[in-house]
Amino acid sequence: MLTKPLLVGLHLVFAIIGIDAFLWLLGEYAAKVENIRRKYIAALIGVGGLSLSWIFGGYYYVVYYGSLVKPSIKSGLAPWAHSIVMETKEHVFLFLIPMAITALFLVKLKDPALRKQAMYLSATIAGLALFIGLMGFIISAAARWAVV
Amino acid sequence: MDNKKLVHASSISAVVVIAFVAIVTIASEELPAFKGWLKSFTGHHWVTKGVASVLLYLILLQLLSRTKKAVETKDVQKAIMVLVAASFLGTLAVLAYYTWHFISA
Repeated sequence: MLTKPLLVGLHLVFAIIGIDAFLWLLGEYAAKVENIRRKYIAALIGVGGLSLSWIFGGYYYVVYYGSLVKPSIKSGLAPWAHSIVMETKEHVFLFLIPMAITALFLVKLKDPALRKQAMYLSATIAGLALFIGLMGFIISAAARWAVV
Repeated sequence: MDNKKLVHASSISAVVVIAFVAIVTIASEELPAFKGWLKSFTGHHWVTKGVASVLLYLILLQLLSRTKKAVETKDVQKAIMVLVAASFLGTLAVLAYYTWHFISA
């Protein structure tokens, strides 16, 4: 049971690192920075952060959430927090990793004609990850309310 | 390897993964036997979807990045924008489906 909050914490910390890294990458493109190395480091941290968040969150979801948290949310005041929000969150997360790896590959292209597309992709990854974070907050709130 | 070809291949592979996850997710909710079949591989339907999406992405990336057809900048631009649009549509499809599923239950 001690590992449960730790896993949620690691899931959150690595998600924040991933989001920050893609916002950093977006800033590099917005500022028209030509240094590929810095952009590559930002994208690499982003891919690493989101991947680790997926692994820790996934382990927590499979091992603990279904048996300990899901039943209390479903019998609480906001069963939709699982049925709509969690179901959406767990599946949309699967979109993020291939998108993040694409952004990492894109950094290596020096073509200025791709700057706008790189900005859209970086912003979408960060935005989608923030939306997933918001869904995580709703699920946590629903779990807390369910046990009050 | 040609970096433009790699980015183009990765974008298309990611679009296919998004479509795959959205379709398999909705199909597995509508067809309990299919959800059970997914679960039989790893013990959890979501883990199977995750493993399958990673494998699908890697296989498509390998296949598409080895095509002989030259990839121009406009092809990469288009592929990235399709990926951005697919991520919005995929999210909307999954969210709309689970909202409808909850309301109609």
